[in-house]
Parts: sequence; structure tokens; C-alpha cells
Amino acid sequence: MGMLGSYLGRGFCEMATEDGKPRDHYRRLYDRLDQFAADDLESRVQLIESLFRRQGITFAVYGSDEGTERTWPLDLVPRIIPSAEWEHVQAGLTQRITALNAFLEDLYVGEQAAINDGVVPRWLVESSEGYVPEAVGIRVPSGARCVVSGIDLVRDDAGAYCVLEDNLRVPSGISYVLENRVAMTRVLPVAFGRYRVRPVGHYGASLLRSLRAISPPGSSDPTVVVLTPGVFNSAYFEHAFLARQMGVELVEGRDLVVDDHVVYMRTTRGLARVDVIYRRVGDEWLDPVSFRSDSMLGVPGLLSAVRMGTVTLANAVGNGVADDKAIYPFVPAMISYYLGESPILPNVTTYLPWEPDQRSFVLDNIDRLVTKPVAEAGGYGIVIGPKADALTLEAAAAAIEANPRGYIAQDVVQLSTHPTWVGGGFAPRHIDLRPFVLSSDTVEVIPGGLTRVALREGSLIVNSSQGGGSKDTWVLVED
Amino acid sequence: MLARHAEDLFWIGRYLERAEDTARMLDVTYHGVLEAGSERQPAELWSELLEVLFLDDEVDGFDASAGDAVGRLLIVDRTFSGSICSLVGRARENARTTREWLSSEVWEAINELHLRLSRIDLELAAQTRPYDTLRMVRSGIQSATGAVDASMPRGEGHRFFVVGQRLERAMITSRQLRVWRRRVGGFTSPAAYAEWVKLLRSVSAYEAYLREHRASMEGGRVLQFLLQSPDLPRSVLHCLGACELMMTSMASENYGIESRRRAGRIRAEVEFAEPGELADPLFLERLEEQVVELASLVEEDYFRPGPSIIMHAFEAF
Repeated sequence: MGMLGSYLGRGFCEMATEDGKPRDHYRRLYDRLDQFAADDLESRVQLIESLFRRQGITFAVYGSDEGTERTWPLDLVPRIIPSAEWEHVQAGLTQRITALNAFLEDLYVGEQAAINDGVVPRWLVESSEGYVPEAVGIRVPSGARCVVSGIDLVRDDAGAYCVLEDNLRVPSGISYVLENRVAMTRVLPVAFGRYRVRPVGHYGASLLRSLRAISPPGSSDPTVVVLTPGVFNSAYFEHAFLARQMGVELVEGRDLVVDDHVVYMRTTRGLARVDVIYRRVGDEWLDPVSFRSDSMLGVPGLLSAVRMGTVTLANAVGNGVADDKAIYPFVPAMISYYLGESPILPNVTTYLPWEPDQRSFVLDNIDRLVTKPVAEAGGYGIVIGPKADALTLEAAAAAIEANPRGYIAQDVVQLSTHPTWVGGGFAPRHIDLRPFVLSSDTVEVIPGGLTRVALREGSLIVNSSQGGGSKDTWVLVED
Repeated sequence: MLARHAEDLFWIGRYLERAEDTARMLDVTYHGVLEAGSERQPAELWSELLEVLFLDDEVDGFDASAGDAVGRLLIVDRTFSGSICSLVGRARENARTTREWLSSEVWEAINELHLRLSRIDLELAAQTRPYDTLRMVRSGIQSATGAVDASMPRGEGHRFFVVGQRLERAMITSRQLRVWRRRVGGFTSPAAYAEWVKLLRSVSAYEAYLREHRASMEGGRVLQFLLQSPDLPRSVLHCLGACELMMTSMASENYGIESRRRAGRIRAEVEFAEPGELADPLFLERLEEQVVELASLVEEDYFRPGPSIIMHAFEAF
């Protein structure tokens, strides 16, 4: 019997049907993996690790004692998405981003029609930490506010794709999508060769094209830069990677200067005008004049230049209101309101503790629900009811009662599982998917995206900061 | 090119050069102390080394009589900015933020040296086997600078690296000459053979000198050789010539005019000085000042465009 002969999935298994047979689109990979001996597979795992470490593909873990640089484990078994399934996901993502963008445009430079028509409660919008009143009235070329988005998807126990959360500010992870692909073709060349996989390597060119498309009017050969908080940021590798892939400068706040509402970078040939800033710095750190005066990452006067329209920021300022977890339940309604369509990808059932009825339901059922703080990212603060001890649940309930606006609760989604190389054998581990969407004058969904896997047995939390790994994600050209 | 990146590369050049020179001078001093006999006090030799490295003020009150302590300070002390470990560490920090300008080979060489210096028990190695340790440092740096030469495109990035490296080298060579001159009491006096040999060794010029002048060790000739030799890579003239060449290719109608002009003038002053002028103690002093000024002109010309940033806001970094 081969390595996969005794494999048993759990929940919805991506690779195998209920009787343990591989699904059609996994058959060729299954056969190939089944031929390997355990030590051969183990040596390939080592190869991945050494490839990443040598190139410095690492991220920093905040609050961790064991040093600052860690590699993010790439699992040996790729995830495969058939073409027809992907077309469905892609259509759903395009629809969702279009609606979210329309909402932001309506909110910041429109008539706030959705609010006035009662689609989204005004107080909820205005109390959102991501809402930026200073951004009201700031126009963006082509109305492109969500230039780069990452939408987190999960599959329920029937295998249906649902949206778990939207990331419309500075989503990260795309560099792993590209690096994972390069590593995978080196580590499993034969298996890869048995499929026709949609390429992802053009991302840098697509991103640059999208960014240049939204440069301020009148700049014939726009200059694009990537703005990073600096080398100590956990995603610095990705910032440098994207600048390299696009062939543009990676700047820090101190490299930029605003003079008479125009942004320049300091070069060895004096000041050079900047037209588009792909910023990987949060709103509140952008400009110490307009936002946090203690920000050393930002550029004094930047927001005034943005307001004058001499420079474009991607993503736009103030997007955080639309990916606030408390606003998330209203996205399906936005889709119907702005596009007159019904949502292709459903949300996960969500309860809003600020509504008295729902609050008592949440508090009564807190041991069966997942509760999340609305403003956190990276999996921090999430409490999974069925797995939490009494003390944790009590604390979560108290926190919700103290600040109902600050939390949401959701049904537990039994994420799909995927065979994953753990401790010398294949075992089922829960996965999700973060596809990346580029949206400027056109919308482009990058095939696949980042599949994150929870390496701890039974764990539903896939974030890199919480012991997760990743998988290369293959979208097939045809089924 | 971003001014910050240019400045980082300039400093990578300076840090690496300084670390290499420190290793070479330490090596010579260690063995000089062993051979010193009764003529010269070890403490004197060690404090002269600190002076050459511009560190005499920074380590005011440091007891230089124990060679081990100076060696420890200059090789392993990470809290001391002039130590080899600190210099290599800072070169690596700068390399991290300028990766897109460096070839992978350069990055890997710097990173590897840094990791090696962190891994081994350096303190023990520096004490028991100083020669091996310093040789490891030197060859580690040479593999980085060799990779720069062999794999970096000759654009702005490379030029700033070279300018930093050669300016630092010119500073150290001219400073060495000044300190050594005082040590042996002027260049025209018949100096102790061993002293000149040590000076030449510490700038890797001993063999070249022998080939040029045979074993006739004479102060005036050594001075002339280390200042004016067009062929010796550590002569002041050679370093300034390289800087001038780089600055000429970088300067345009509007940029880099001052630093280029100054580089050319200092180079010409060194190149065409008569032997009598070289022997004037003031000549070496002025030369040293001029090279330091040239470095700040480069900074002004290329690294400080636009309005100055509010420095206090950045000190918290």
C-alpha cells in the first residue's frame, strides 16, 4: 500500500470522496504521491525549507521569543481547483469587489445613498474604526478604491464556497503565492507536469498595470512606488518582493517629501515626482499632519496631496470601514442594492451583538459559536466556542456585553480538509483560501490565491501568526 | 536611485573597508607587540592603533596596556561601534534594505560573514587564535567585495559602494602615515627598519614595495610610495583617482559638481606634490582633513535632496 492508501479525510475533503477515492481532478496527483517512499517525501520537505531560508523568504512574528525571522511552512501537497469551480468563485469575487467598491465610492464621494436608503445603518458606519471622515470628498481616478483586495473564502461541509472576511486595506500574502509556485515546480516537477495549471507569475506586471491605470490625470509616464513601514515590519519581505517584481522603488516615509501639495521622492538626482503610491502602511500612519502625529512611518502633508489629486494612493484612504467585521453582514445587501444581482458567494451566518435580540442569542449560545473582535486581524482575539474552556467563554461574554459593537458571532464552519504532510505521513488539516483581486479600470482575479492550512490537528485557525502553513494552489486550465 | 539607498551602499563600502583594515592592522599590531622587546611599550602600540582608527577619543580612559582587551574591543564587542562585529553587522543591516541593488552573491557573502561571526565563540577564538580569526574576517570581506566586483552592474549602486570604500581607505592610509611618522620621528630620519615594514604590511604594501625599491627601507620613499604610487590599490592617489573617476561618471550639469571638483583637486595635489612638500608634517594633516571634507561633500551632493527631515522625529527609531 502506498503513502496515501490509508488516508481518511474529515469534514469535506478536497481530495477524496466519501468512499475514500480521489476526485477526478486529484487523480494524477494522488497517483504520483502514492509512489513515493516516506523518506523521499521528507527530503523534498527539507528542500522547500532550505530554498526559502537561503532566499530569506521569512516573516517576523510579533511577541515571539524565538527570534524574529521565521519561514512559513509550505506544504508538500498542492491544492487543486477545477476550472468550472474557479469560474464560479471568480464571478463571485468580481461581483463582491465591485459592490464593495461602489459602497466606498458612495460613502466618501457620493450621496451616501445606501445609508440614506437604510441598506447599511449610518451609526454603524460612523462608529467604525476604519471610517475616515477626512477622506470624505477625496476622489480617486476611475473610482478605484479597492485596487488590491484579498477575500478569505472557506468551504462548508457540503463543499460550498463562502466568504469569511474581506481585506480591503493592505492584504498580504501574494508573495507567497508566487514563491510557492516557484518552489513547487522544483519540488514536485513530475506531478506539476501532469496538469495544465493557470500561471500566477505575471502578478507583478498586472499590479503595475493596475497602478499606472489610476495615476492622476496628465501624467503620461507615471512613477509608481511601494511605501513600506520599513525593515522591521512583518511583511517587509513582501514589500521588497513586490517592488522588485514591478521594477519600482521601495520607499519609506522619510524618502518622500510633499512640496506645494505634490509628492516627491529623494533621489541622488534631487527630488523626483511620484504619481502613484502602493502603500503598505495603515491609514492612521500615513500622514502625521492629518492622522497620528506620533507616526514616524508617514509623510507630512501626504493627505493634502491626495486631496488635491496630484498623487493616487492604492488602496484608497478609509477602506477599513468596508471590511469592518460588523459591516460584513451587510455586503450581500450591498450587492443587491448596487448591482441588482443576488450574491454568488454567500456569507457565513453572522450574529450582531449590538442588536438586543441577537445579543441574547449570542450570549446563550456562546459555546457553539465563533466570536471575533471586529477590528482585529491576523486571527487575534477569535474564540471558537466548542473548543474554548469556561473561563475563556466567560471573558468573551463579558467583553461582548461591555462593547457589543466591537464583536460579531458566527456559526462554526467546519472548514474543508486537505491531505497535508505532517510528522512523516499524510493527515487531514483544515484549509481556507485567500484569492487576490486587482481592480482598477478592469477587475482581474489572480488564479487561485493563498491556501492557508492549520497545521495543528483539528485547528480551524490558519493564520501565519497562529501556527499556520500554506499550500500551492493550482487552478486548472480545463477540467 | 533613492538617496537613502545610495547612502546605504556608500556606507556598506565604508563599513566593509574599515572592518578589513581593522583586521589587517590588528594582525600587524599583535605581532608587533610580540616582537617589540624592550624598545617600545605594548600600551603605546595599542593606543597608536586606536588613534589610527579614529577611536582614541571614543575610548577615552580605556586601558590599552592589555592587548587582549583591545583585541576583544575591536573584534568582538558588539556594544562598541568600531568593532569588526559591529561593522559587519551594520553592513548587513544596510544590505537588507538595499537588496534590490545588490546581487544575491554579494548579499549572501555579507550575510554569511555576519552569521559566522555570530556563530563561533568569537571571544575565545580572538584570544587564542587571533591570526586565524582575523584571516577569516579578511577573507570573508574579500569574498563580499570580490562579489561586488564580479557580479554588480556598473550603475549608480556600484559607484556609491566604490566611493565609500575608497574614501574610507584613503582616510585610513593617510591617517596611518601621520601616526607612523610621529612614531619614527619624521620621514627623513633613518628609521627603524621594522617600523616601516609594519606600516607597509598593515596596508598590504610590503611585497609591492620590495619589488619597487628592493629592501632599501627609507622613510621618504615609503611615504612617497603610499601617497603617490599610481599602481598600489591602497595608496592615497589610487583611492582618490578611483573616487574621481566614479564622481566624473555620476556628475551632471546640476548634480555632484562640488564633490567632483574637490575629488579632482585633492587628487592633483597628491599626485603632483614634490618630495619636499610631502615631508612637511602639515601636508599629511591637511590631506586627512580634505578627505574627510570630501566625504561630507558627497553626502551633501547626493544624499540630502529636498527639505531636511525633522531629525528629532526619527531619533526614536
